Amino acid sequence: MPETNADPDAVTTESVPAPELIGVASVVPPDHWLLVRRIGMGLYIVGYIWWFVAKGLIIDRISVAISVGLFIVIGHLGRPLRRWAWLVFDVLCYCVMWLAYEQTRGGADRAGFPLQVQAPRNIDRFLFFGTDPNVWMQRHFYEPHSIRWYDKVASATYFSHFIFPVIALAVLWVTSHREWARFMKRFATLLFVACTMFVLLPTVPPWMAADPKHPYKILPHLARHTGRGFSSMGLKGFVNKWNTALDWGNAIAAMPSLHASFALFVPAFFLPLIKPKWLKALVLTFPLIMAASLVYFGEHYVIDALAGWTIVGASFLFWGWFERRQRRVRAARAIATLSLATPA
Amino acid sequence: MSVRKVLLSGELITAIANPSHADHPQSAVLYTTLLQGYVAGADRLYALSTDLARFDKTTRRAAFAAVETAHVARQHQSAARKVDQSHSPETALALVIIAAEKITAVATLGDQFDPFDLEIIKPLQSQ
Repeated sequence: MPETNADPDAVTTESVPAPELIGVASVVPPDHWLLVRRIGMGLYIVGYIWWFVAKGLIIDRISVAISVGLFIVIGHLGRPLRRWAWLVFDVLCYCVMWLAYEQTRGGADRAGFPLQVQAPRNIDRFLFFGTDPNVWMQRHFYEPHSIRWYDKVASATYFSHFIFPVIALAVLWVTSHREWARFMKRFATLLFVACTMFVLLPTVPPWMAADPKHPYKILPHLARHTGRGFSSMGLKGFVNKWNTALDWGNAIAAMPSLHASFALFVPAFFLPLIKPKWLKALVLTFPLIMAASLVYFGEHYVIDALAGWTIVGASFLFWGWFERRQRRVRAARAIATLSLATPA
Repeated sequence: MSVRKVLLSGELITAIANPSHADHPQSAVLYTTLLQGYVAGADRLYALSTDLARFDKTTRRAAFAAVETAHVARQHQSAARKVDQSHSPETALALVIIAAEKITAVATLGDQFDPFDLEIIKPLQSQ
């Protein structure tokens, strides 16, 4: 911002003394729609929990989109038409982003770039002094005939991937369009970089590299027991059959790990709102637990998680810098236009 | 970091945009201070769409580039008509938007917001 001759002492920021103050809410007519929205949200949460317990955690993207859409519609009841118009535009952008993501992800194996089989395993071995973390974790913790508490924690953490980012998006969508836009810029950047890497670096995940049904066999056998802990708690995933018609998923889209990325992304976005340091530290253990779970289940190498975290960090740094620059430019433009640098 | 939401009152933005306005110098200094908070990420500045509509697009995009538009919808105007008649229609509308957008501070030249539980920001000379 350009230098100004503004004298800060010429301005006071004062809080009007307390005694006779009137709350703004007491003079403004109550928004009856707020009550409608709150009741609707309450019913939605009850319904969602019932569905989760009775039919399973909603996992496939179309069912997730429907459930989120319903939440957002409830959250917009009684809002001005302009907000609904924004919502339609946002939804279109959101759908285009996800379709592009799915198409790119599915097309990665058709692009013809060389398949990364040994490189990620070798990097992990280098990082862990010759040990394969996936194999080490399964040897030390996996018990084929019993499900331990950490199997449940790891499995629940793994499946949280399907709800946490979506909940964050939906809540921001309803509460603050500006924060939603900030979230989406970072999120879309993450997905864009991830999709580019899926195309350029198709990577065989550890479970596939160890699976005797595949030709690689560069790791000892790994059990792929991701859902075991989850189902042992009486929980399951809900996947509607339309998913099979629209499933462009790609098993070799392993680098970077989106599970690890999202697990860091959501806490990192909300971290500035958390005051106690111990709570910040606790929240940041979530991505660590997610990474450990992914390695334990043989879903990802450690380097996949590290790559995901790096992209998240880069996305936050870039947009943080961009937004600060944008604020400086806007303020400078305002000052230049109004000749505020030399007030009379 | 908690960000303060500041509403710039209609009379303040009029004084800011108009160099011949009697309160322009003080308003300009106040606006500069608010812009510093904006650049630091400590403040978000708002003005009512009905107030900003008085200026042409060039002025809005340049002079008020840092100011977010608080869009006034028909339902806000309807709510403002139900506010106690002791407040002017402009103040009533501002109060409705303050409640809707959860704004906590008002930058203004006058004293119409003084009775409310809000942080009032004024140029020194206008107090």
